[in-house]
Amino acid sequence: MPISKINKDLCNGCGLCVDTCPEDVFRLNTQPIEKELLSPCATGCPASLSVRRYSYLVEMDETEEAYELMREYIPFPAITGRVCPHPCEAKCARCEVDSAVNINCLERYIADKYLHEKAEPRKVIYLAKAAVIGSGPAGLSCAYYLSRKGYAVTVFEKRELPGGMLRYGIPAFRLDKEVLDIEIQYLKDMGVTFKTGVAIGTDITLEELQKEYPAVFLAVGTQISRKVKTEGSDLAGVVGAFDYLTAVNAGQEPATPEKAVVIGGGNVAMDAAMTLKKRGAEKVTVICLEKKEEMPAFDKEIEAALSEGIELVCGYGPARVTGTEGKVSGIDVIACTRVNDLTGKFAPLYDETVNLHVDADMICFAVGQGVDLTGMPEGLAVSPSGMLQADKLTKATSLAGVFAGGDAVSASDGSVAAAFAAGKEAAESMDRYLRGADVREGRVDATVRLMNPPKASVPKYPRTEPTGKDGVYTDNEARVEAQRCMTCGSRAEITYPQDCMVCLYCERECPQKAITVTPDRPGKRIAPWDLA
Amino acid sequence: MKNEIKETRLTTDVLVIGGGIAGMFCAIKAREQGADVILLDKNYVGRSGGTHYAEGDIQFFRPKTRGHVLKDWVDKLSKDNEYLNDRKWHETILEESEERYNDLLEWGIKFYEKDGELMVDGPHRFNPIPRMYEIISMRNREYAPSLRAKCLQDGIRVYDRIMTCELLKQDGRVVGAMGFHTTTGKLYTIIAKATVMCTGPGTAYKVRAMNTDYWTGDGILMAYRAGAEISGMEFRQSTGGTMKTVYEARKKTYPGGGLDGQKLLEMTADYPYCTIQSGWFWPQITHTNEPVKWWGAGEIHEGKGPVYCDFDNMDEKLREHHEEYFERVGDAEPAKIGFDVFNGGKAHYPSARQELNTPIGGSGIWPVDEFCASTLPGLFAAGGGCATRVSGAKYGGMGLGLNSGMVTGTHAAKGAIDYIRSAPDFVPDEAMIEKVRNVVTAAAVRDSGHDPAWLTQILQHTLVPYYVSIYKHEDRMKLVLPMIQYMKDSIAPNLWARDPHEWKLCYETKNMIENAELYLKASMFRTESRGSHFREDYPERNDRDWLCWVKMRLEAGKDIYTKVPVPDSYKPDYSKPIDELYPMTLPDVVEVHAQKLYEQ
Repeated sequence: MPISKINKDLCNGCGLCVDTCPEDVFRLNTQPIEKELLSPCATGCPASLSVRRYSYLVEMDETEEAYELMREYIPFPAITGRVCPHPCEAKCARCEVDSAVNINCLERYIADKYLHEKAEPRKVIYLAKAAVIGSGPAGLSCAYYLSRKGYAVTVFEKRELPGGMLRYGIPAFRLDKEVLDIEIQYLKDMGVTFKTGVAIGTDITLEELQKEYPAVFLAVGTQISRKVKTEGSDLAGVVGAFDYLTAVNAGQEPATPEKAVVIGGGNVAMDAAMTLKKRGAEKVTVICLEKKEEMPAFDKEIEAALSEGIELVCGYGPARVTGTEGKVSGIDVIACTRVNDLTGKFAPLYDETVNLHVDADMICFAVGQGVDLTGMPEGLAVSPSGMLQADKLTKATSLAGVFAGGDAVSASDGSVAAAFAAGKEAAESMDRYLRGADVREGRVDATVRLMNPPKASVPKYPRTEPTGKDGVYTDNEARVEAQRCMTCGSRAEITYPQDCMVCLYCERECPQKAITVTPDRPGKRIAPWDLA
Repeated sequence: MKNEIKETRLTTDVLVIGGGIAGMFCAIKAREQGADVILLDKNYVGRSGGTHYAEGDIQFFRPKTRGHVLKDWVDKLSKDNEYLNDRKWHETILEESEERYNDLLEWGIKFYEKDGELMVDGPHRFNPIPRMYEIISMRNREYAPSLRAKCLQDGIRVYDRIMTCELLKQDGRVVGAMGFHTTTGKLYTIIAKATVMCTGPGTAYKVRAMNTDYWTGDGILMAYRAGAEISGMEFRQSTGGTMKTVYEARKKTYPGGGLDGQKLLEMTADYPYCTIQSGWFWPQITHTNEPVKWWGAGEIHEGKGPVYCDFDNMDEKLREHHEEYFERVGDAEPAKIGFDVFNGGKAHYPSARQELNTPIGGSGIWPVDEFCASTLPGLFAAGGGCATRVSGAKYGGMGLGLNSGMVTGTHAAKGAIDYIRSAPDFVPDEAMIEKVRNVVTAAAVRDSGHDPAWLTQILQHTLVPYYVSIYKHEDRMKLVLPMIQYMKDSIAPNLWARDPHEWKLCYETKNMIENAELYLKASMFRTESRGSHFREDYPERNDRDWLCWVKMRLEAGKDIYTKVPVPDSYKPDYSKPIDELYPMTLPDVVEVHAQKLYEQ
């Protein structure tokens, strides 16, 4: 009675039977047919990256295949491997065993291994051309996937160099610009054309562009730094955080203040504060409306800022900017008693009796960004908050043939991974649109069904931190860390039942009791009995 | 799959092949001394080999606190092993057992304890006979995975699912090995300054008996093909004392008086310790043998039987013990295998193949020094694949396997490190590597050929009958040997692997066939009976001619045999009566040569 079946409803894909079987009977399928079986990490990833698949490939010593697989989801894993805040790790089921798998370091390890590989020029197989407006993460991603599909793609960029937020928004200490250049060169080698210094809406209108390019992806990002309108907010020394970061990243060397205040509690605020500190500001204070635990910035970023000596003042909002001789001297802030109303809408309430004054010679507002809609056609739907509106699934806008994604779209969560995912989805839609296929068909939101992740059965060993050059894993560290992945939601399969020696170890070890070796043999009766 | 074979090359200081306890110890110890270590296993390190099935017993020698006497202990082992054990290795293993125990403690391995004390005699011992020595037990199913975790944390490069096929040899020394990944089919060439073979013993079968199905002797055969000396092949195919089988079957010494339809459990009232080893009910007597197995063979050969266990009358005390044991070990449900220990029923024991398992006789690669160096420079062996003769002519006893694995692993690590320090550097010879690659990939690159599973079946049908493998006779072995050689020369070279899994089967089959051949040759060479080696044409023990180990090596396609007499100090004390020296003296056989020694 060799093993003949595994209870699919119970199997959680831990792979213990595969490892335990002395006769190599099983295989682990990390991509079972049932698509709804996402692993917890994949549900945490804006790009739904199948971490368990690439972890298992790394464990199998197949890093090249892992890299290929990763690029099905993420065009430039070397970038996300550096800047991604890895929400996947918070969801990792291993958190309940010891600590999360170091998914981000694994991603970077795999990506860096093949970072310098030269691209093969892609064959253009379609006559229709596609345009991507904006060369930030969403735009580059869309261009990458369109090029893979066989389209001639042109990327338009307003600034001198392509890269958008990746170049101008993210500080160099988080993303080495050399990596960005390598990836852009990769796109160029694939056959993607870049036209920089061309602003859509002023240099050329969208309508004009559409005549040559029947499908257009708007990934213009958010270029306008918002400021809170208060008394004194037009004084010299009041700047937008993104403007400041852009100036630094563009090498314009803006003056560094002695004391700076950053208003805002998001990741841009943290980046601005850290950049100010790194550039020599003596005192940097971050002031935000939210309480510390409610701050939208990622915990890791907040911790990093605090460890750099940045002060955090939570629960205060700006009342007025004070100044002397037209220059900023400080800011008065008042306590914020509520940030959002009961419906979750932004509607802060203040208590003016509780107030503070902070001295500063620069006030840096990091309270959100707006989309620059100059020259955009009338018919393009815009949300009340001034963002572009696009279908969540297909990225289609109100204009035929125009798609939009990335930070310019209201639904975006602002992460690079989300922008990559939006670009990928837009590329799929544009491909379908250009071929005349149904843009929506088969693209329903996957119903997420989580497995009971393996817990008790998993031997504990600590998370591996990279010791290699530049904080990258060595080959062995990566393989060790990959083995910590519990491959949640995979399926064990009986591939070689004829080799089963009925030692019953699979049955004994299975933590889910999904394996019961019985004399029942699957299959139907075969001839000659059928004749009766 | 010709064009699909991907290749990778790894370079290291110490290559350890086999991820059982010996391999893991060797890797950890070599790593401790600063070497770069690669640890390979054809399955999964920490869940592989005999170690995964071992219950965690360690013979624990504590002269200071427990008053154990080394000589008494080793004398007992000599008697159990019919004087072909290596007493020096036994002493080493016992003396170092406490050090190894301390290692295990330091690495966080947990032992069974009762009332805050180490549980002596293991968790499941139920033995009324007072022991002169102690066995302690690591927590079953936990210790090997924990050792794996230790390997990973120490930075040992662990590669699972690599089927190692051939050693790389240049200028007379071993410089690594070549194998492939059994899932991805990638070819691995590993260049190493020193190679340690920890691949366990080997059988020529894959039969479902005591889960030793996968001991196909890959490492020993690899070493043999490369020219290393091996030993103990005549003892290797079965666990117990076949001599005991014959003795019990002929003397009918058990209560109840015979084997005819005997109720085993009643008969084993004096030996009330039974386990279920993953599906096989396994009544045992003390640490030395398993009566069911003796009787399995006896049932057939002596025309007795059938033998069965009757659980209806199980003793209350025994039932309690079973319940406690099953709960602790968490074994498979007894009902699963056709009977339920706790609810009565009968279990039958079919045929002689019960005897064909656990080859723990003193077989393997011959060590030339205490650091487990083989006769080939650069090649070391540890654990069950190293012929330390701690098991002599038969299974040495509970706990010896893990003990010797730990100790030889530690010794081999030191040997390998010392060797690396003194051995000259080398540049891998690409022509040699290409040659080995052609051999290794042969089954994978051809477009058609034989099915390895089919050949395995043919081999077993040829060799497994008890009248070849257990009750040996030159006439029968002479008939079988040419068939085995035909398989080796004409069928095995034309095996075809359709995928990496079959590629592994091809190599295992090839190794099993070579195993069978050496087994038959060595069995014919030893013209006496002893331990697990029983010759019907030479049923007596022959101390004068055969108190020796037999080494074999391959030279220019020929097997060369060398007899190595055991030192005089290892020999039995002939002033004692013969049935004290050999408790299993057959009733109808005169131990002629031993008698002659008396007279001298």
